[in-house]
Amino acid sequence: MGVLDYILAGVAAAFFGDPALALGPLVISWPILLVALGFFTGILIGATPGLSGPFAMALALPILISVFGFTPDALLPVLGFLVGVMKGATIGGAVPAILFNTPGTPDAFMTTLDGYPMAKKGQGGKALRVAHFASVSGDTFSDIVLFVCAPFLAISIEAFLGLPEKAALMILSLSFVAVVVGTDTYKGLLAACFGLMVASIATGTDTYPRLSMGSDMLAAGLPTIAVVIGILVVGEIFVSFEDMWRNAREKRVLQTIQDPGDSTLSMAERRKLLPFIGTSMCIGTIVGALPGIGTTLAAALGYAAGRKMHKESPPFGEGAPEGIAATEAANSAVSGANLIPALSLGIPGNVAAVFIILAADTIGGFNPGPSVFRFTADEVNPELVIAFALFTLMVVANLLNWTTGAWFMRLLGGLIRIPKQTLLPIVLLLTMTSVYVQNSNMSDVYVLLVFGAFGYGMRSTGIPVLPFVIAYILARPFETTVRNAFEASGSDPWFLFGGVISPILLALAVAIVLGAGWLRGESEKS
Amino acid sequence: MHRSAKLFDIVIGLFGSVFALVTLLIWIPADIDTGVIDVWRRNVRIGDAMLPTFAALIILGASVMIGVRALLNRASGTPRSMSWVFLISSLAIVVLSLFIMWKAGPLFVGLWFSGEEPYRKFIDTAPWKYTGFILGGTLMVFAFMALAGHRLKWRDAAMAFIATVIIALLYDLPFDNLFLPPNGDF
Repeated sequence: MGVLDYILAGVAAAFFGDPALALGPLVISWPILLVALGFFTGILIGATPGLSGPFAMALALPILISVFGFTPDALLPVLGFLVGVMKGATIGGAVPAILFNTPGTPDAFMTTLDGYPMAKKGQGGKALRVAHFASVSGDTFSDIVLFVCAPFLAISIEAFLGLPEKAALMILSLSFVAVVVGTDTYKGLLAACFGLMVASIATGTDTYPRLSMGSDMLAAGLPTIAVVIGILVVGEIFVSFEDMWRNAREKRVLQTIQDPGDSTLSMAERRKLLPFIGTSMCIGTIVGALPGIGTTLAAALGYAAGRKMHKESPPFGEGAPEGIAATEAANSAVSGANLIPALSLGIPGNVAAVFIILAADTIGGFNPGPSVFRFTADEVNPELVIAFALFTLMVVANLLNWTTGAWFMRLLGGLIRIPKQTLLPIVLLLTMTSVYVQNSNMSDVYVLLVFGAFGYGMRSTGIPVLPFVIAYILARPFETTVRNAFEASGSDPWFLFGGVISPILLALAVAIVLGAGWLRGESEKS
Repeated sequence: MHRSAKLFDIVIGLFGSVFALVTLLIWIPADIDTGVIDVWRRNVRIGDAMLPTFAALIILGASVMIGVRALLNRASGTPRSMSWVFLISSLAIVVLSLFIMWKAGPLFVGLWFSGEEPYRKFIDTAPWKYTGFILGGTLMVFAFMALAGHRLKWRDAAMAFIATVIIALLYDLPFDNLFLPPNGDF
């Protein structure tokens, strides 16, 4: 099969692979249906203060796997839903940021700076349109970069890197994530190695499940989804509970601002925004391609760059549409680019990528990494077909975003009223239930709660949780690669230091750890 | 350096160091058969102990650095403040809710059938299958609403009940093969 055949096979798998319903002559497949469902759910969740995309992914993943099972047919609908949520939540976060001065997601904080002043002037509708236009532009650009770069990067890695170099690359990625996420290198390393340690339990090649302490529950292996959701979601819920408990009643009445003013966005106004969007989406894409660096930094950098470019009135911070555009284009451009390391290297760069890899790993049949992009001519590489089907689903989500996103965002403006202290306890019960139903085993709920407690403790003591999760997910491929590299080298103890590339990657890893203070200082300044 | 930050960092340093040392000196030798390097049929290969040993060594190094840095009053940022009252209250809510979730179903079935029928027979039969989840779930949701909002309101209790019923129906009605917690464990 040629490249074009693979692309067409991917498009066909997404559109016609698994028919769900027929509307006359129009047949809608499960993957397309789930992308749409995920997209609207994502906007709703992103627009709800206190919730974010990872919450929806965490709740949905066990349910989707229970519904669709572990068959190859399940992969595209599940991935489609996750992609839809990822994109929906990114634009949804702007709704409460603009209308209520409450960012729905952390990266939407910068959007409040100009969005809320615009809403106070009666231009909430226009601000939402600006946010949507910038967000969807940034997202689309980032996806195009992903479609081009991920296969190219994967092919290069497969061609030029052997097993020791791949192992060294994973060490470099882990070091980078440990150092860059959070504010403390040692705590980042602690979190990453704790993730490796937890991943070691009941795995390995020996018949005895290592580190299981004779416990049947541990010997069966820790349920990956419960561990990840516990750390990421339950820990965050408990931190929010405590903050609400301490701040005594977060029952602030959300102010609805009447919007009698102009809510349209003309072509001339859109053209005026383009330089800001263009700059920010490039910044967001570059930031997103680096594992572990989140949307918040991208938004801050995009806003700072936009402020330097902006000379007109009103200035940034006082209701400038350019401020919203600069922020939203940057944080939305992160989401697609974040999948570059995930799909080409198998290294998850952010929480959304963690869930996509987790879904692929749990269902099977698709192992994100360099081997996905093998363009075999004589036989079909099914993983490559799935990769192109995933790209197709991302395009579908973008088309939905362009056509219906703005309308749905404005619609939600009137709906998001539920206070956080009412919503989060319900989300906790939902999370527990969705983790339980996958295996019908209460021990999964206990694991969820125990790792929720770890997540709470880590957040409270300044230990970042993302390095833990990424190391936990990467541990198995990392160990396998190191083992294979060692055996392939003829048991050479210096196997990681042979050649040129591997020592350079390892030296970079050491340099990143040692130069963390400088790196962080630079990013704080910027 | 912030006082609680210093205390937290000393605790992390101590806890991490002890955990790493126990792992390296007791847990790994006692609970992994193959060692860091393993010889199998004359092949030298990486053993199962390699990854946890590597992780524990870095945990030890990082923990010592965090602890020493705290003792030297070198800051690592201001932590969130943690409240024991909140922690104990949350733990009590979770434990009590899960206990009720576990016991309510068997208790109601036992009372209704005078102890002659096991709960296992009713794990997929309404209304018995809902009792544990709805009672335990409602308690958990309501108690956390009350804890977070510093208030006890009938409206919250009603909302917790309705939300729990909706969650139960959401999972139970469309999917025949899914069990609500804790019915799959019986």
